[in-house]
Amino acid sequence: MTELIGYNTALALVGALLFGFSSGHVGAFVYLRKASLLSDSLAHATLPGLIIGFLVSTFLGMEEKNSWVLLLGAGISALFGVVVIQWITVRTKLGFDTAIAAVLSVFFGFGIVLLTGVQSVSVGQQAGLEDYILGSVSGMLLQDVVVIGLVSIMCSSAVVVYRRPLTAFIFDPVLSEMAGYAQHRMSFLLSLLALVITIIGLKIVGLILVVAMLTIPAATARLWTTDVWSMSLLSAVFGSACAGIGVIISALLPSLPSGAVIVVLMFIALGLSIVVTHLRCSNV
Amino acid sequence: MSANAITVNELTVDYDGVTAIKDVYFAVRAEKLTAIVGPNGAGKSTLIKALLGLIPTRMGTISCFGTSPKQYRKDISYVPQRAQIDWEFPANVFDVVAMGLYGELGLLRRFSSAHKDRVHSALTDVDMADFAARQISQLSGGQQQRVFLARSIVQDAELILLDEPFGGIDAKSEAVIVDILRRQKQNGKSIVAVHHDLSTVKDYFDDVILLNKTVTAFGPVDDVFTKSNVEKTYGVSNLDFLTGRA
Amino acid sequence: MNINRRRFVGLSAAAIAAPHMAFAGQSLNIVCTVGMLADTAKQIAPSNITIRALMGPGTDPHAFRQTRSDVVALTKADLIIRHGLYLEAQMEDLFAKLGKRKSILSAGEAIPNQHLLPYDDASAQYDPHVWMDPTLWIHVADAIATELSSKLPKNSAEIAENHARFVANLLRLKDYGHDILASVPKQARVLLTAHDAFRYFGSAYDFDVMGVKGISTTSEAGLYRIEELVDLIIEGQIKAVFVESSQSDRNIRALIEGTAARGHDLKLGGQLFSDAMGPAGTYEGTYVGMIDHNLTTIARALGVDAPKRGMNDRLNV
Repeated sequence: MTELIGYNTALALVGALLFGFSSGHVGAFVYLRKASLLSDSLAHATLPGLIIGFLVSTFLGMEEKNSWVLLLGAGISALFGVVVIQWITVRTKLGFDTAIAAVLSVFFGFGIVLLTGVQSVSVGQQAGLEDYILGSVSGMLLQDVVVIGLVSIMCSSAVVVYRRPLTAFIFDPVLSEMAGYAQHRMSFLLSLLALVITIIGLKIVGLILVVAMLTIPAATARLWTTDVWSMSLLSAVFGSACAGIGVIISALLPSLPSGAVIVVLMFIALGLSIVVTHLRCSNV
Repeated sequence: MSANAITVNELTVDYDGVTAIKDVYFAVRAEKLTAIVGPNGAGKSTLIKALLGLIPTRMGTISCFGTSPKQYRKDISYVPQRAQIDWEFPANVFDVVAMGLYGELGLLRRFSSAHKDRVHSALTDVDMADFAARQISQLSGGQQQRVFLARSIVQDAELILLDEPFGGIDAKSEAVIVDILRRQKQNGKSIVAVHHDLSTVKDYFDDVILLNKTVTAFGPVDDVFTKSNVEKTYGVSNLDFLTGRA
Repeated sequence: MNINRRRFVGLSAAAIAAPHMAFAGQSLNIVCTVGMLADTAKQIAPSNITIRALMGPGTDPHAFRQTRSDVVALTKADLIIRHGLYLEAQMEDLFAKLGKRKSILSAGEAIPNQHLLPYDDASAQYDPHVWMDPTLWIHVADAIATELSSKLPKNSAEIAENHARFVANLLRLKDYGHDILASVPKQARVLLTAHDAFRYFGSAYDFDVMGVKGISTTSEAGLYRIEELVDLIIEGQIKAVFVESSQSDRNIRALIEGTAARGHDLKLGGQLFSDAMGPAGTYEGTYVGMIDHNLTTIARALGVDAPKRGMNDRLNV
């Protein structure tokens, strides 16, 4: 490399650092709410929407495969997944776990069917949908980073502004309701934040791995902290650091899938934290 | 206090597709300790949820110090059943009590030293001041209950609603908690508790509401807590109503 | 009893063999995998033959997974023409099974090995993108013509005539390419595309070829590769980069942004047809049109004043 960090790497790095920070930040509350599995379900539920978004943007004659139409489609279909999960939980005798598993597999399966069907439609450039399933940092453009950055900052800000009601809601929902923050509104806020993080994470780590961004840094931070505020900040730092280092590594070594490298790093951080905090406890 | 703490009339609430309580009526006197007593499935939790305004009612009225449910929310503090709380949550005793101030503080108001003092004062009231920095996962049952009481105290609400406050607590802690509740009554608070132990109703409480889907009777314990009323509520005869054993 | 059963078996065998002989003068149902093969077969076969391709314009054959209706079409076909050389990577198992009872022509494998480029230094596989060199495609046309003649002996004269005409077009393409690219100077003879599909073009016309992704499209390009290419583009002062009809253009746009940040104006030279032809019903939707389009687009992007509408004056611009 003729420069220390090339332009493309710098772009991917900024996007990853900001996204890693906000996904760790939001992830702390998702983790405490014990909603990590729900996030995975939502992530898998984006697939049909991605493909329908692709079809819509192609048939509307949009010049390039407009990625924001795809992400909008992904968001809508994940939102629909939330609605279905709610419906199953509230209206039928099936439990929350069953609802999550059902939505995850049915939506994702339907998405795979669409994906196979799309390949026989005679329009161009359908390759590239795989980038959203497994992530691709190499194709990051300035416009992508700008959007990812802005949305990440908004999500983190929302978490900071609503930290008190979110904390109260997770710990004692009745208290938060009595304090004027309705349970269903707080639940919706948290789900919405998780959904937004999932959508912007599709380009970086892909839908299969984005649940890791919302879970592992939070679990790691929990081992080191004893209050929600510190935990959420530490989770954000872990998420950011692993995402940033993951991008650097995939720039230094050829043929490494960036999303997977980031998740492996987070897992190593978790493993080390378990060992260190365990040793600390036994030495006390 | 001229108004009753709570007045309920013809209250009917459905839950999970069945009618949980029907035609419930009672009045809770202000500045008294009132127990809500009844067998399993009597609708006690549903009643509590309705009083808190958490679930919709099919019919009937609830009023609190003469005002409507939505308006009195800030004046009720609720102490949940200990089993409903995740005690592994990252928080210490101070944090939990401080949550009682979140309604006042709103989203962004700074947590000032005045607020800190109020938390410490509430902790002193329940004799938990030394435990302020202790993680809640390291508390005993009685200590957990006292932390929640401190949270109610810091809210300074007129009415305190407790859901089975003595469940799974040793006798000494129970005595401590009763003492705290009596002191709060003297401070002008009205206290209502869902209570499961028939043998202590007369000792701890001034008034009682006997509930089994409808109200069998309510009023001062000496008048209302009789063998026949209790037997009617629990649907058994030959009940030693002081111990709840047939 | 035994004699009757033997006679029955014998008659059945004859009945099964009969259709092969009965094709003479009747129509033939041909199913091809990629469009280039279907078009080639259409050019050579007599007009009453139904030929279809499983993969349309813009479809990536490396990633293509057959659906149930594809399998039905293949089992109903009288002749299957596939490319082979692992181009239809996800269909290998299917063809292995089908090959036991159906007539399958692996047209790409008709090219003698000495003309093929290896996949990479390590493996024994070959780069399958042979259609980029019209002279190599002559072998494919030959193989298809031979197979068709054997199945339709009554039409062999027509087939031979069509075949000769098609091969003449391939030779014209070869010459056209050499003509228009002759004036491109040595240092500018670099072709940069979304994936490594143009190595046969490179060897036929003496170009260095680079793809952001490798020969197969199924793995992520990687930041390292992007940075590496940005360096190479700046070093070699490469002027133009090309997107492909069956690939996402994200990586190419990342290259353009990355080189722009270093002050180098990398232009988008146009869209090339790499693994699939242009839209059906157009000139670019035929093999000749596809290659014509690619050659003309590349030459014009590199500054050559090649005819805008290509060799046959039929390109859509």
